[in-house]
Amino acid sequence: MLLDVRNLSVEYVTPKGPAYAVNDVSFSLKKGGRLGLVGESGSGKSTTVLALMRLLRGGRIEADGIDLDGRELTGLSDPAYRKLRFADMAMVPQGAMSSLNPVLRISEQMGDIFDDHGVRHGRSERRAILGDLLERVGLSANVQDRYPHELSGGMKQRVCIAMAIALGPDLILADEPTSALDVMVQKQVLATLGRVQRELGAGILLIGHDMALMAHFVDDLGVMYAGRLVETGPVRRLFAKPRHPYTKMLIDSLPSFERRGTFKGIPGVGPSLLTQLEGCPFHPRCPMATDICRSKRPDPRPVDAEEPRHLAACHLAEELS
Amino acid sequence: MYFDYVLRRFLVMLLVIFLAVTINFALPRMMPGDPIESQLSQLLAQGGGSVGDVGAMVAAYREKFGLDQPVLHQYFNYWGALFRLDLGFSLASYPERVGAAILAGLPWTLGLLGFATLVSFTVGTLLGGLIAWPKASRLWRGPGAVVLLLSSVPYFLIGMVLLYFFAVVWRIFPAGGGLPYGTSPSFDWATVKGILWHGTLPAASIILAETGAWAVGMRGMLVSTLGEDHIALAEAKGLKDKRIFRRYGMRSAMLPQLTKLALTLGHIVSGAILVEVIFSYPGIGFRLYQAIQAKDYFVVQGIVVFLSISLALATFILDLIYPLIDPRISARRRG
Ligand SMILES: Nc1ncnc2c1ncn2[C@@H]1O[C@H](COP(=O)(O)OP(=O)(O)O)[C@@H](O)[C@H]1O
Ligand SMILES: [Mg+2]
Repeated sequence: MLLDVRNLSVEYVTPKGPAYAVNDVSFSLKKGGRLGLVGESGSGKSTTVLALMRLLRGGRIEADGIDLDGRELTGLSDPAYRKLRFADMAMVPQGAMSSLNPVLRISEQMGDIFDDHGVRHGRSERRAILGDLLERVGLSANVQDRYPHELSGGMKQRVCIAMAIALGPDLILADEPTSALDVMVQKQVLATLGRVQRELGAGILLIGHDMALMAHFVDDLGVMYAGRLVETGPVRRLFAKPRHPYTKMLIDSLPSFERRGTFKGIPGVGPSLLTQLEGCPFHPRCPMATDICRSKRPDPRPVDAEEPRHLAACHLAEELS
Repeated sequence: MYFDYVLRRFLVMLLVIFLAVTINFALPRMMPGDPIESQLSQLLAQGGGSVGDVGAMVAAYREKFGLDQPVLHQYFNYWGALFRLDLGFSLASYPERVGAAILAGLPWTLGLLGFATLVSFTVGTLLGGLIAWPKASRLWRGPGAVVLLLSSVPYFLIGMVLLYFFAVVWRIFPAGGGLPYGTSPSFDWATVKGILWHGTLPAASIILAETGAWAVGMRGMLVSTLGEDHIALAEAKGLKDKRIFRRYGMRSAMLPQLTKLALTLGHIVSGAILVEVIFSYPGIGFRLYQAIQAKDYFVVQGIVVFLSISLALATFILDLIYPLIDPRISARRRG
């Protein structure tokens, strides 16, 4: 197993008290595998990624275990964690347009990854290595001499991908890596990300809110709601037989060929994260909710006889058709 | 493209200089009465100079400026004189030339203000950065707080307090002047020592007052820079704290500071007039003050034209180097 996360929780300290942004999230990812996390905005996807990178601002992490390549990360010191970033676990950021420093050349911003991880190169060797990385993501080698403002959004995000693979990490965390880009460019950049990830043999955790785009990319999918993973499993099983009403509503809301352009959306709004709701966090919006949903919180459990990895946190999973 | 940009900036500079000189030419002529007559009669009333001297001066000025000629003619003559760097005579200490008076004050002002500005900029910027950075040692908060507090006190007030304690009560430093009384500058150790001795208090009052302003500016800039996405990515890359601070934080946050520095350096010829006055420091500011006191009309006018032109020039030079500091600027200004 490449990554194994057990009961990860994150609380943000806010003026109004703790906000429970991520609650008891568990998932795992095998070597070279692709796991996607979807959920509406505010459901805790970015917080999960930042917690794995230990880059939360003002958040407190609790976890029974975060295992990367057989290494337990929860007790790791901050300096050791720094060395692990990008070397073992890299990240492709969300805001392609603003994630590069505006006053530094691309070569400097790529080069210091090597410098601060103790990888030394001669001048021309460094140029060649950076050029090679850029070519692998479909850019020309001399993009390294440019400043970010001279590049398009898609090119910037490709630069970020090139940086993520620079040290050959085993795991890439990509937080909505294409959401800031045009629809046309999104597909190309995602394809590039997929290609370099395969070439590298790295596992990838892809965050997104576009179920359709995700369905083509990942092997496994996790659906987050209010900081909880409400359903996980192989993406095909999830689409064929969703076992959580929220997942089903997400899938039903996708525009299809027959219902082109209509996007139903889901009625209601997500719960406040400041209080832990009694019962199932989804029950106020759930059309099927019964008494037990209002009183007892469902834990993720196997819901598919043919696929033991398909889990859902719903009392009524079996009744869903 | 860069050439277009430079050309446009250059034309703007010419326009500014043109306007400054024209206004400076027009203002006194719009005042009722003959400027020379009124100045000289005031001078006479104060009992300065003999009648013979005044007669010679009026004649010299009448001829020099051709005040009896048509205004347009006078205007062109004025420009001609400017191109010959001729700003006329001082009324108060005739036959000293205005140009010579400015040149005599310039090195003092440039030296004092240049030194004090660079020191406050460097110390203030660094300190501001260190206060803003959460990972910096807390030891910096102490001096930071002092400097921030001092920045809300006007520099001439600090100057007066320093003057009172260090020059009057404890008599450690001289109370005024640029050199020990009665000496004239030469290239020897005594002169250097004298300059440093006399410059300490004026420089200290400017530095104490200005450092905080630089620190405040830098703190604000760095705090907002540290909140930007590229800092988050720099952290995600596993870069060392020091590099994130210096390269990603300070270097980006520096740009507005450098702009401000360049602007301030452009202004320094105009000096910290009040500090020069308090310490009778023989720079341009003090001379301007003296000229105003003495109603030395042509010196005031000369200094004002000189300051306008040097400011326009400094702004132009700043515009030239700015694209080199910030790669985005040339593109943005071009576009
Ligand atoms: N630094 C923070 N301080 C306080 N609350 C935060 C912070 N970052 C995110 N949150 C809150 O945590 C919740 C989850 O946010 P996030 O992980 O960004 O969701 P997602 O990426 O799924 O849109 C949101 O309600 C958000 O407002
Ligand atoms: Mg997010």
